[in-house]
Amino acid sequence: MTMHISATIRRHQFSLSVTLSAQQKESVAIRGKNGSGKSTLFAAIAGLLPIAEGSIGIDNRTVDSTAAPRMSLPPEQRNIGFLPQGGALFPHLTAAENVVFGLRARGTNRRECVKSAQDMLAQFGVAELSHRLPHQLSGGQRQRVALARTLILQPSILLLDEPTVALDADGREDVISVLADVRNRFNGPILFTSHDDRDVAALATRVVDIHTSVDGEHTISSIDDSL
Amino acid sequence: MKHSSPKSLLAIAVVGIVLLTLPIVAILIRMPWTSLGEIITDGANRTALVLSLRTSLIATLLSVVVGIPIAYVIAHHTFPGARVFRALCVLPMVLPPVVGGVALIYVLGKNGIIGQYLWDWFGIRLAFTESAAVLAQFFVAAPFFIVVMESAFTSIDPSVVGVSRTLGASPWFSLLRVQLPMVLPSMLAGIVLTWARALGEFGATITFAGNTEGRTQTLPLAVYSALESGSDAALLLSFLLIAVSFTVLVALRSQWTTGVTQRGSQ
Repeated sequence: MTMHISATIRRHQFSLSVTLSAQQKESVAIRGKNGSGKSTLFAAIAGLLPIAEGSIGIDNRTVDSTAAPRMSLPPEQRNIGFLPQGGALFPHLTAAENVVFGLRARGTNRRECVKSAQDMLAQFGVAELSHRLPHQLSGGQRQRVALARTLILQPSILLLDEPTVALDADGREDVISVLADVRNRFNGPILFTSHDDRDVAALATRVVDIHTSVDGEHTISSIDDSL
Repeated sequence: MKHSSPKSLLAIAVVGIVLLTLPIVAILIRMPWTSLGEIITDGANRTALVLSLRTSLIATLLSVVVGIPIAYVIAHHTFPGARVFRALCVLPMVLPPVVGGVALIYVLGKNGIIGQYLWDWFGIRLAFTESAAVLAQFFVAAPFFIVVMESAFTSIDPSVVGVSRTLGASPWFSLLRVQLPMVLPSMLAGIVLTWARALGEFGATITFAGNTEGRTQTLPLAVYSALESGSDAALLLSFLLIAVSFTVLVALRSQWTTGVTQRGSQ
C-alpha cells in the first residue's frame, strides 16, 4: 500500500509519500514536533478536514483532490479506521451501542448488531462492560471500546492519533498491550502518532519523522520515507 | 468552611430580594381565592387560556423546526457575513416586542411587502388573526431556542462528530443519531424557555394580532383587558402565568445543571 500526500491543509503544506506493507504487519510511528501537523494530517486523510490545494492518494486511488473534486470521497466512503485523541466515544451511547454504530449506519439489523457487539467487546476483553456509558469506563477501557468500534468495520488502514495520551501509567500499559495484539490480528497497516518514545519503541515496526520548516504563513511538513 | 459576606452587601441583597419578590407576594395576598372557581370557569377567561396554550405551542413547534437548522448553520459554518446573520437571527430577543409587532405589520400586514401579495393573489389576510398571534410569539420567542441550540451544538467535541463520519454515518445520520441526542438536555431546556416566552408574549401580539376576545386575545392580553375594566380576573390570570413561569424556572434549573456539557466532558 502506498500513500501520497501533496496538499495544503490549514496552514500546513504536506509533502509525503509512504509505502506501507500490509503483509509485514506494519505499524508506523509518525514522529514530529508539536505543531508539525500530525493530527491535521490524520484528520485530512480520514476526510475530516478539507484540503486547500493538492491531493491525497491511497493505493493509486485519489481520495481527495482539489483539481478533481468529483474524485474526492466523503469520510464515510474512505474505509479508513480513525481514532482521534481520547477515542471520541459517543457519550450518550453504551459501550455496545458505540461498537456497532458503524454497522447501524450501514443498515445492519439490530439483532445482528447485538451479537457482533458482544463478539467484538469480548475480543477486546471488555464484554462485561457492554452496558456502561463512556463516562463509567476507565481511560484504558475507553480506548478498547474505541478500537473495537473501529475494527468491527474492517478498515483498510488504521490511523491512531496519540493513542496513549492523557492516560495514567496503568492505562498506558493496558492500551499498549491491546495495540500490540491489534497489530498481530489486523490485516492492514497501522499509522500512529506519538510523542512518547516508549510507545514508539513498544509498537512501531518503523519510524518516519516529519521534518518541518516555516515559510511565511505556512509550516512545510515533509516525510522522508527511506524504506 | 464558613463563607462570610460583608454586612453591607447582605443588606443590599435583602432590599433587592424584597423589591423582586414583593410584587409576586402582593398578587398572592390580593388573590380573590373565594371566587377562584367562578373566574376560572368564566367563558372568556377559559377561551383566552385555551387560545394561549394553542398559539404558544404552535409557535414553539415552529421555533424548533426552523431553530435547529438555523442554530446548526450558525454553529458550524463561517461564511462571509455569518456574524451579521447570527445577530439578525437573535435580534428579536433584545428588541422591544412592540417593534417586532410593527415590523411584522410591514412584512405581513395587508400592505406589507409580502402581505400585499398574499392578499392580492390568494386572498389571505394574516394580520389580526390567530395566525398573527402565532407569528408574533414565534418572532419573539424563536431566538431563545436558537441561542440555546447554538451553544449546545458548539459544545459538542468536533472529533466525536468526525469519528461518526469515518464510521460510515452520512451527515444526516450523524445529526440524528449523534449530535441531536447529545444536545437533548439543552434542547428540552430551550423548548421550555421558548414556550414560556411565547406564552407571555404581549407587545408584538397586541400590535400585529390585536386584542379580539376569542380570536387573538391571549392570556397576557386578557390580563391587560381585565385590569383596564377593574376586574379581579386580572389577578387570577396573572397568578396562572406566574404559576407556569415558576414551574418552568424550577424545571430549567435541573435541566441546565445536568446539561450536555457536563455529560460530554466526562
